[in-house]
Amino acid sequence: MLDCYNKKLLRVNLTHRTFTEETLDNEFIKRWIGGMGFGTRLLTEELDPGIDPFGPENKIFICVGPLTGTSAPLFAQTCIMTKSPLTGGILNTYAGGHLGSAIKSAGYEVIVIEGKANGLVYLSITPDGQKIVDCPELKGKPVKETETAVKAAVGRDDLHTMAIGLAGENRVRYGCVISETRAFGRGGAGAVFGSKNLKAIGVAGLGDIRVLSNEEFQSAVNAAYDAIKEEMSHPWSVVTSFSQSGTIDGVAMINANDALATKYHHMTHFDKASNIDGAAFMEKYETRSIACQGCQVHCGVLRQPKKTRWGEAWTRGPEYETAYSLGSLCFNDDSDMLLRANDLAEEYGMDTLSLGVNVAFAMECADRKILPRDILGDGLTLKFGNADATIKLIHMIANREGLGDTLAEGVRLASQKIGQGTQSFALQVKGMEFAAWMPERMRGITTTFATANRGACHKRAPIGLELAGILQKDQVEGRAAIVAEIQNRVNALFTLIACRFAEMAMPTAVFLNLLKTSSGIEMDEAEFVKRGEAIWNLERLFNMNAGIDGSEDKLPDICFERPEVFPEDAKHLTHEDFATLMRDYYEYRGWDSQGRPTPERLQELGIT
Amino acid sequence: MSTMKVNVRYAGMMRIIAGRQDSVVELPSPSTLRDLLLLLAKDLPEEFKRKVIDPLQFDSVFPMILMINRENIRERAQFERPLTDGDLVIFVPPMEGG
Repeated sequence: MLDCYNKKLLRVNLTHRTFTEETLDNEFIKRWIGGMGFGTRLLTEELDPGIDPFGPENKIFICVGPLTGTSAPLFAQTCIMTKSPLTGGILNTYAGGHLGSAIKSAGYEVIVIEGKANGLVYLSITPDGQKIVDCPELKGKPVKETETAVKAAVGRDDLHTMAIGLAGENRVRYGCVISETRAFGRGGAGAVFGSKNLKAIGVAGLGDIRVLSNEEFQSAVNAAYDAIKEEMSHPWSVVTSFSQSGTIDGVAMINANDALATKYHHMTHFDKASNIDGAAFMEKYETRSIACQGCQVHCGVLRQPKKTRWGEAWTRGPEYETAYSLGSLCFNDDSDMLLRANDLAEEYGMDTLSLGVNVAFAMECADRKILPRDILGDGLTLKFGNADATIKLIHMIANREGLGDTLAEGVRLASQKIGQGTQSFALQVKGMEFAAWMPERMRGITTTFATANRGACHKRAPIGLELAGILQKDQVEGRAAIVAEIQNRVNALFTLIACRFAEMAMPTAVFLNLLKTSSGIEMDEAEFVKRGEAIWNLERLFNMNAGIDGSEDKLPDICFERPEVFPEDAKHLTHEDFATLMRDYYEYRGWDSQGRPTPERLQELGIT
Repeated sequence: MSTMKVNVRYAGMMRIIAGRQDSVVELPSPSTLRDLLLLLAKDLPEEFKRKVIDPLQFDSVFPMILMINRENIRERAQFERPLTDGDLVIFVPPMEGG
């Protein structure tokens, strides 16, 4: 039983420079399964919700799952949980690549980082030992250079790393953590690393990764491969599409649906989208696919080095989210700029979604004559479509220079500082900037953005159903329940840390069989989803105790204005519809009218 | 014989497979969506026919790769839908998110 678990937690205290191993209790493992389940439970037990996210009392929980490092496909991701400096609430953020299996083979399910180092350090966890190493020479260094330096210093070819760039060091509130070619993007985990003077972590392991029954597990793995193979045999499947050009070709589909946020949500369609969609990037740039460990989809697209007028770019992506935030939202169709901006975001270590929304927010402020057009200096004009202005702002934000210092705080705090009514159009919920979707256009997105525990996040929404027309985009009835179900289900899958693409190919029964044959943990689908619901409620309780209650389940005023360019036959979002969605959502969840989980519902979920 | 003109757009990777971007196709009036697909199939590259047109006609209809005037074509019966002069037919790559 529980053979696939190491049952070990490594606690690293940066203040005292100590390492402590703890054994995870069997009941804890069976209850919370792994990944986001472990992280949520530990974080909500160990952190006072009222702490300063940048204080030494904040902690970073790095978690893997029961299937990490096994031969099961699409389980390469690692989960980071912490208290977000962007929202002040609980944060879960994920990245694929190869780090997860290194953590697992190093012998751990969870690494907890506590305290604060007295100078810049990196952490090395290898079979040769665990070390906290001073690294003042890495101050301000870009992510790739940092990761290369740490690998060279540790001297192991099998070392896998995660690191922050200047943005994290400067506590840009959406500073992210990069692991080789993948990003723990949203919510500012990189800034928390920076607040602890933690520049990088390198992990290598040689330990075996076991499963309960080799024969039965192999059979379950075969079924998973068969499901993926079947899905990818269809040339029009989403997964196949991602394997050809990455996620960026989604720009074309979203635009065809008149749902592409353009020019700061004033438009739903970008006439120049074909300059920044997947086909455009495949045609213009030499590209090769890269994959996370054990993945057949290989959605990663690595662009070979390309000279742009802003310097050489060598980057993975951009993803469709970046093509929105730094492209259509800024009314910019310059693919060279997107390539370079994406590269800069990776080197500085910044979430491209929040970054692009902050840049676009500044452009909107200039359009409304709230900020002067010449605020960037160097003869640059702050206006939509100006690629030079975007690149300049990225540098200014990472370095916290001038207007960049204000925008490094995120649009919520920036709008509070700038004032003049800017809060009404700051594209954020609970402090997190909008992802690439329009709540004005799709009611699933309306509900998801408003209720997500980590802010305006798109990760648990019926996007495909609405894009495919299976659900009418502007229909309110029944939508809240669908969103809540997806939130529960995705949270459950994040205990296994399955890639989001896995569920596009594999039925839930396949996941459960992988869990059963690797660990002996057996449950039906309803129970599995209920575990996800329990996690959702735990997050909600933490947020409420951090001051983020039902009054924060809201959208900025701009979402209730009909965009200038909007489909004639579509209904824009009204306050009445929004109130209905929230009422339905609370009712479906068994919460009270203020969005508070009721004691009865918590008891049913086993939360005491 | 009266004719009509239909706008056909190949979005994203569809335009790489089709080897073309937007076009205006002239059809006899009345014509259906199926008539349009059969006409397009005559001069589109073999890869496009194999990956897009053939599955649309003969396999289960995937709801994301064909739209008329922003409406997804999700059922085979919709291939018999009459076209109207000025209709916009878009082949789109599929997308999921969230």
